[in-house]
This record gives sequence, C-alpha cells and structure tokens, in this order.
Amino acid sequence: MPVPPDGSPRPVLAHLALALALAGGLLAGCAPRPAPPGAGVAELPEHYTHSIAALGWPGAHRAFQVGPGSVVSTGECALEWLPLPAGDAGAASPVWFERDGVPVAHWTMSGARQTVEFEAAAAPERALGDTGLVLSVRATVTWRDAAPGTAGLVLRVRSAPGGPHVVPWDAPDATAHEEWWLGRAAVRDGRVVALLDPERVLPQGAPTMYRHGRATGDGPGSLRATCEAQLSRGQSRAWEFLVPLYPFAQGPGGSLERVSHAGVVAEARRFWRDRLARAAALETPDTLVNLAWRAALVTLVQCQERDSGLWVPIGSPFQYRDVWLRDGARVVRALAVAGVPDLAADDARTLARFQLPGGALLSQRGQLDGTGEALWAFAQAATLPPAPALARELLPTAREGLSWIRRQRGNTISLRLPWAGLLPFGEPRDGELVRANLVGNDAWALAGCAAVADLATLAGDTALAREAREVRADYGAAFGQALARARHADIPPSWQGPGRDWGNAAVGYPTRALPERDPRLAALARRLRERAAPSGLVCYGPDDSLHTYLGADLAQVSLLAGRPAETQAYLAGLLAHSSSTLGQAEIVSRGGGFGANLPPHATASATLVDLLRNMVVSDTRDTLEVGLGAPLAWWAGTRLERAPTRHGVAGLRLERPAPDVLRLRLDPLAAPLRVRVPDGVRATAALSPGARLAGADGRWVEAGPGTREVSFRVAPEPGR
Amino acid sequence: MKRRHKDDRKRRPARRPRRLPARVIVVALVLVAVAAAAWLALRLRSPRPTRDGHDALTPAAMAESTRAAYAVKDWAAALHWARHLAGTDPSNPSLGLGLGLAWHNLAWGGAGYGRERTATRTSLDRVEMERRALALMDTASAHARDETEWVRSSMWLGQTYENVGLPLDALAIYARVRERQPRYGPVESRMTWVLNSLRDPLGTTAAPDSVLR
Repeated sequence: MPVPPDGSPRPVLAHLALALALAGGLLAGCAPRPAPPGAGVAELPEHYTHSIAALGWPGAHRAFQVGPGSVVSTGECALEWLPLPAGDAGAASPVWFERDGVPVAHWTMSGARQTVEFEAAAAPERALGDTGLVLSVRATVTWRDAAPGTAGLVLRVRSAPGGPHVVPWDAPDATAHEEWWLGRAAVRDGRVVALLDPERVLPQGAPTMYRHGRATGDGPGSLRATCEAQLSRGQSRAWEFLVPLYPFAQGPGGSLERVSHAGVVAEARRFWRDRLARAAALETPDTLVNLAWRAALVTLVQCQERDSGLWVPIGSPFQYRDVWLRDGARVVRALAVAGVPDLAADDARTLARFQLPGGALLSQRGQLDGTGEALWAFAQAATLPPAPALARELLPTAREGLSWIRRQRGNTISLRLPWAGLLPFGEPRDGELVRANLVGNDAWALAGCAAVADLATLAGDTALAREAREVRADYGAAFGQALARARHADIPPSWQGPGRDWGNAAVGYPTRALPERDPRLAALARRLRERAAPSGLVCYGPDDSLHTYLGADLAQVSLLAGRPAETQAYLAGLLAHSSSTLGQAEIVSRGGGFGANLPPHATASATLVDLLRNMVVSDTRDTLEVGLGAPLAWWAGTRLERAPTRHGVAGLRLERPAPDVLRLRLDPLAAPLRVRVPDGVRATAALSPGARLAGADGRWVEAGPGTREVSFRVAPEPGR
Repeated sequence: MKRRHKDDRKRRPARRPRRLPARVIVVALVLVAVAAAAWLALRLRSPRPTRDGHDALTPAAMAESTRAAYAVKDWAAALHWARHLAGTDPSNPSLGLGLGLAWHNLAWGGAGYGRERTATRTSLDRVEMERRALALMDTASAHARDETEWVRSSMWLGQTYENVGLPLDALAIYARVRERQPRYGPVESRMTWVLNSLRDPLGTTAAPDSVLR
C-alpha cells in the first residue's frame, strides 16, 4: 500500500490538537514538525510466560492489548495474523517498545521462508471521540527463501486473544456476533471493528452485508482475509491495518479513511518523547535501568483517566481501571519525584475527593489506610518541589483527615479497647485479608500526621503544624508500645498477629513509623525475602506468588539503613521479573505466569521510579543524600536532570574522573549534603573545598548547603 | 463516554447528478404526505407525555415501584424511583432518608471492580454516592418531624458508617441515639455488636447479646 508522506499536515494537526486537549494544554507551543524516526527497538527478553504490552493514552478509558502472539485487541475484538506460506511456523517474538521508551510496539514472526516485522502504535483520533484511540499496525513481510514465492499473511478477526486478556468494563456482553465485510471495513454487529489494507484479498464466499457470517466465543469467526505478494529473496512488502478502540457505526472506511500508519506512529512518538523530555531524566551506565525508568513513566502517564476536570490515577491499563488510595498515593509520589507536577497535583486533588463527612478518606470499604495515604500523597505533591499554593489548597482536607485520626485514637482510648491509642479494626478485603487492627493502617496514619505537619508548615499554618506534630509524637509512642506488646519476632501484619504481610512492609518506608535501623525492620525484610529466595523479591501469600512491588518499601529501608546491596538485589530481581517492555505484573509465579492479572501495574511502576530516584538522590531525611544506592559502576557516568526534591529542583551527575577519584556535581540546593560512598571502595580524602569525610569508615562525605561539587579520593575496601 | 462521529458526506466522491423520473417524485410526495397525516393524527389523539413519564403516578405507586426494585436488587431502578418519590415532597425527611438509602444501596450493591458494575465503575463514583447518602440521612435526621423519624434516620446513618467500614464513626451516631432515646432497644444491640467487633475483630461471630458496658 502506498504510504502517505510522513507528517501530512491535516492528520498531524488533528492529532496534535487532541493531544493538546488531553494533556491539559501542556504541549502548548508545539508545532507540526516532520515525523520523527524511531529510536530503534529495545529487544529485551520476556520473563513472563505470555508477552503482553499495553498501548494506551492518558484520558482514554481503555488500552489496546498487544499479544500474546501476533494479536492486538481492544478487549472486545482482536486481530490475529498468521503466516501465509503453508508450513511456515511463524512463531511470534515477544513484544518490544522503542529504545527511547516510546510505546510503539514491535514484534516479529519468523518462519523458514519469510519474516514479518510488525509495528503498532496508538494515538487519539478526533473522529473517534474524546476518549477514543486508533491503533495502527503495519506488517512488513520480507521473503527469505532462495526461490521466489508467495509471501504474505492471513488475518483473522477474533473476539479475544488466545491467551490471557481482559474484557473491558464497558464491552457488550454479547458472545455471538453477526459479521461481514464492507469495503475495507470488518464489521461486527453493525459496527466497524477494523479497517484493512485496501489490497487485502477476501476469500470466495466471504460474508457481506447481505449474507452475514457468525462468530461465537473468543476464537476467530468468519472474517478472514489474506495479504499476499510474489516476492524474491530480500524483497519486502507492507500492509497496514487500523483498529478503533471502540467499534464505530460508519460506512466503508468511514471516519478513519484518512488516518495513515505513519501519522499515528509519528503522533505517538511526538507525544511520548515530549512527555518524557519534560520529566526528570535518569541516565546511568546501565541501559536496562534507564529503559525501566522510562517504561515506568510511560505506564504512570498511561494510567490516567479524567473525571470532573481532573486527572485520575488508575491501577493498570487493563484490569484495574479504578482508583485505590493505596495505589493512587504511590502514583502521586512517583509523578512528583519524576518531575511531572501537573499530573501529581491533579491526582492529589482527585484523592481529596475521597473524603467522607467525618474526615476519613476511603476508596474501598474497610481500607482504613486510605486516610493516611491520601494525606501523605498531598504532602508529596505539595513539597516536591515546595508548592505553597497547592499546600494551602489541600490543607482543609488534610485538617479534616487529621481530625478524624485524632478522634479515632481518642475513642479507642475512651472505650478502653484492647489496642487503645491506635486506629480501630479494618476489614480491607485485600492486602492483609483479615479483619483485625492492622499495623499498616496505623503506620500510614502516622505518615499522614507528619504529612499534615509538612503541609501546614508550607501553607503557613503554624498552629496546625504544631498540632499535627504533637499528634504524631503521641501516636508514635502508642505505636511503639503496641509493637512491644505484640511480642512478634519482627513486625506482624495485624496487632493481633494474623493476616498476610502487606501494610507492615511500609512501616519503615515511606511511613517512617519506625526508624530505618530498627532491628525489627531488618528481621521482617529477612523473613519475607527468604521465602522468595532467590528471586530478590518477596512473596504475597503462597511461596509461588512473587510480588513485584510489595518488597519495594523494604528495599528503600535497606537504602536508608546503609545496606544498598539489598536494594540492588531487589532491583535486579524486579528487572528479572519484568516483561519485555519492562512492565511488571502485580503477582508472578516462579514460572513466569501472571494469570489474568496482566502487566503493567501502575504501583509497580510507581515504586520503581521512587526507588531509582532515591538510589541516586534522597531527601527522606533532613539532608540531601546522594548515591545511597548507586553501585560503583554508576559513578562512571550517571545523570539525573530536572529532579524535584523538598529543597528544590536538582540536576546532578556522578562521575569518576580518575580511577581513584569520584565526583558529584549538582545544582546547588539549600540543604546540607551527604554523599554515600559506594560499596567496594571507601573515601580516603575529600578533595573539594568545604567537603569533609564523616566517620572513620570512609563511607560518607559531607558538605554544606549550596555545594556545587564534591570530589573525593577512594581506595578499594579492605577485603574486597 | 462521549463519542463524536465525523460527518464524512463531504468527502465522498461527487456523483454525476441523475434526473429522477416524475412518477417517482409524485409517489414520494404522496408517501410523505400520508406519513405526516398519520403522525399528526396520533399526536392529536394521545396526550403529550410528561418529561419523565412519572408525573401521573401517585407517591404510593412510586413507593411500590421502589419496593419492587429492592425486592429484585435492582439498585439503579430503586434509586430512580426513590428519587422521583422524594421529588414529590422534598421536605419530607422519610423520603429523603429513602433516597439516601437508595444511593447507599447502589454504591454498595454494585461493589467490585469487575464488569458487572458499570453503574459504579470507579471508587470515585461509589464514594460520591456514599457521600450523598450520608448527607441525605443526616439531613433527614436534622429535619425529623418526630422522634421515630429521627431515630430511624440516625440508625441508618450509623449503619451506613458501619457498612463502609468506619465502626467508631457508627458508634458515635448510635451513642447519640441511646443518649436521646435510652429505651430504644435496637440501638443497644447494635452498639453491642459494634463494640464486640471493636474489642475482638477476629471473632467474626461476636454475639449481639454479650453486652459489654
């Protein structure tokens, strides 16, 4: 099919305009440019039993599923490609995205006689409505056989992919479909589900609008076409296909007639590159880590819907299109540290909508951690970097939340309940899976109190700040007493003991209910990690269920406690349990299965972003700490740009100008600085003016506020 | 979901105009005239329907429809009827309470994030419904015309807090009821249940009779 010139003006302008609207005007100033070329394909191994990727867009209410196999799906309809030459196996590769993180999907089908390379991208299309997208797929067949032959593909319309898939919330319930061809269009139940290349060939007796075919169940029905060409060795031929996110009622071709593959791909590249370019940039010598950072950002931006004029953080592009405070709060934090303040602030405002009249913030019944999580998320959005106006805006909600926490604690004391001074029981029907007084609820409420103090300070309400600090201190004491009384070897899921490990994993980070060096935190981490060994992750429930983000908080504690090797092991484990597009399923069996809980998961992306950022720069404590988790190899050239901190937006570089010298260069911030010397070496002398070694072990170098550079000499650690 | 479809008529290739035979035009005009006359006759004969179609119903009929909807757990229909019923007498606290309950039931009955609950797809929808429910119940309690109405509104307010998983908030409401109506028995057993749960949440079958005072 002749491809229109890249960047033909009308489609590009139309796409750009819609992208502008969806991005809340943040792309203002962009003008049509020639379509950017792809950055190449990041061909990564697939660690899951099924290779699945999401192609979505912020503001859309569904996402396209690519895979498993050579299939794309909207959730209610799928296109499947098979190799044409008889006997050509044509097994599909994993799905890959591009090297710069742009979610343009690529996969191949390689057989003995031909190779097919697929490229698929999704973008908004005005004609499909303000939450609709169009997916464009180009299949390029290259003939490999020495003898010329008939190359090509067979295309089948199915109801669903053959492997794991999710039926969207708004898909019709019909399991039987009337279907026919109408020009280029594949029509099901009177609506266009795909537009095929004009040069496809329909078989004799193919269904028409006068003689319908029928499909039942998930598999292929009667809509089948071939794309074929006579090719010699090395010759190629491409065909293109369009899939609307929602079927539409139109005549042949209809409103997608003018949509070109090149236009859709160009729009996807422009939008995602722009999004990534405005976020914090992390570049380390480890290209897999760099890609994981960008993939996580893409997932976080994809997992945004709009409601009442605000962005809304949802749990995943597929099965978790809903809001949980426990997940949304993590997303707010990740977006804030990743320099996406518009989404972080909007998401925080959305979380404020969960407040009930008594002051509690609740997204799911019985999940009492929600109040603390929402308050904590408010502080993340308002302090990274400090935004007093946002703090003032969120403060009334935060005040009510604090009041609810204080009242709850007061009531458990006045009623002389067994766990007085803490929150009452919760019944989350998730996480701990028990009705009990949950340790995680109290940890999050403690974090909420501290967050209100931070917000109030930023907003200039000193009285509320003082009150919040007092509540935090008193509550913290009650928490400590309860922990002593629980007589548990580490930290139990509930004060009574029973339950699955869940909220207790957040006791050290981010809630800081316990100091990071508390031996019970190390014991908890040891217990959870041992069960999941040697994965580097932790289990949720059965030993075969590896959880991709439950262990992230414990990895953060390891950072703060000076055990970066544990953090690095978790990171390695996570990357080894990620998809070929670096998305993470929430729970993975040791064999790589994820059931119907498809990747990617927004919270896994969020905790990954937070962890990587803190490994390079952390403002968790009262100083700016650099290199807490950076291995020595990262000092050979790591760059973090446009990174918000509580002390301002920072850019920094880790360098190794000589084998025995490490150097940090950063934008000066008004905070004392501590540099963590990586494991394997120890600092022997500070080389920069104002820098000094701290302690006798050569593990830390310190400098005052406003420092631009810290250089220090290192020597191998004894015994290494 | 708002979907807009482009009118693509302008993009269709222009066809060479063809002249229609006079006989076809005459037949078409006759058909249009007959259709218009039939439409006019039907319109004149039947009364113009009201905007929502329920104005002709009595409150009793609406209440019966609400009950019928509850019986089959059709929460959306129950809300629909409760809304219309409350609209017949907006200052009636009982009807306001009924509407609050209908909102709560819709939020509650449509639980889970699966496809089966498109009416309350996200927790944002549900929490908004619960907020409305609580506000309506609170208002019904504040405007109660007698003690019976006040007790009923307050008890449902407490029950709703219990249902969303806030036992201490519920207990505070029940305590108000007991303080004002110490001889109202159900509040005592409800408080006992909540208190027992608070003291021993793992004992899922806490007996309502084991009063802990």
